[in-house]
Amino acid sequence: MRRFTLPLVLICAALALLALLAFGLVSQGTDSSIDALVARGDYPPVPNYPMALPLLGSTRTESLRDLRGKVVLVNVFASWCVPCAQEAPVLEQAQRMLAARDGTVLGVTYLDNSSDDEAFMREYHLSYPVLRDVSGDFARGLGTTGVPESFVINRSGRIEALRRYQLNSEWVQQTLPRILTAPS
Amino acid sequence: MRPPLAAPASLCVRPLPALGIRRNLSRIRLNLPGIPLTLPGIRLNLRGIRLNLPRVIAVFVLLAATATTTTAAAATTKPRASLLEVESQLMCPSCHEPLEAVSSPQALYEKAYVKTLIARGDTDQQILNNLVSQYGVVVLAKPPASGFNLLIYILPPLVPVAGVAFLLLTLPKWRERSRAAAAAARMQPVPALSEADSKRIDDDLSRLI
Repeated sequence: MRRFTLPLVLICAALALLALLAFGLVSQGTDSSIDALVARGDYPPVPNYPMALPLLGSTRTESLRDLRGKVVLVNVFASWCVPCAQEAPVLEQAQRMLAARDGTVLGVTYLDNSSDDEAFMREYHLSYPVLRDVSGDFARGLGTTGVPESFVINRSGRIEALRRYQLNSEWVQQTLPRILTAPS
Repeated sequence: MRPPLAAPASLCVRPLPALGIRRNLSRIRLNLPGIPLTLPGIRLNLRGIRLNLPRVIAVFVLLAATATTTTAAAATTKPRASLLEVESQLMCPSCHEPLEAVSSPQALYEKAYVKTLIARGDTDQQILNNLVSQYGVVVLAKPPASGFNLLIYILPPLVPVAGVAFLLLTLPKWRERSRAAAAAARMQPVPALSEADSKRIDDDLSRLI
């Protein structure tokens, strides 16, 4: 029995290291399951729906659950991102459309600092609320791998549309009215 | 004229009577050669210098307090953090690379943010804390030693230790085994040469010699 002890210990150590490596690879990988579900029309609930995040420029926190019943265009962005700046006017236009019909754009900053975010909001005259995802957990839950990414949450709190890159006014015009008029 | 010292004071540890220690409830008197000491009866007379023990203690306390204050003052008046030093402790969270090594848009914004904090007069630690509150712990080049991150602190020293332990355990056994095999080989009787081989070797040798 003793002659098997050392090989067993070595095998266990090797397996543990392999498991660690596998865990690392899986946790770093991208999750495209949300995209697949949305494409099938099987709208998934928002991951981390109740997660409260700090509101930019305020001491309050807010979560998507606080906006339940509204159509929410979640835009994950960062002030240093050039496409985010390019799509900013489109988002403000979307905010005006949504605000008139019980909805809102909700910015979520990611990998950014609050002073730059505030400067970005001022520079592009953006009026919608912004949450700060400091840990990145909220964005990771959405399968975010970069910025900008946008997700439309319907009144039932499910992701009905998404765009993994810069959005444009055509996409907004095609997507938002359909979701706004859909029965909840 | 001052009497010469019979021996250095440090060597004058003798039995009590020889040292001439007189003790009462409040004081111990040390009659070291040429150095009369009175402890803790408050007064020391070292080679003609009279010292008051509470005063000596007070001076020590004062010196210690001064040293502490000076250290604290030095800590608070620490020179301004250097950009290179701070950068070396930070990551670019969007590209997962050391901040000092990249020039991505996010890294440039992060560097600019660090510069504003340095200009504000923040210390290294304040800057790191601020960056963590803004970007999360992923911004630190050296993550905190807690949870899953503990592995990066434990594994590197553990692997060589485990390797050495493995060698210490197995090497003696290997050597023992190889020695036993060598001994067994030595014990094997050497097969006798055949007549033909013996003759051939003799012939070869006779040609060579």
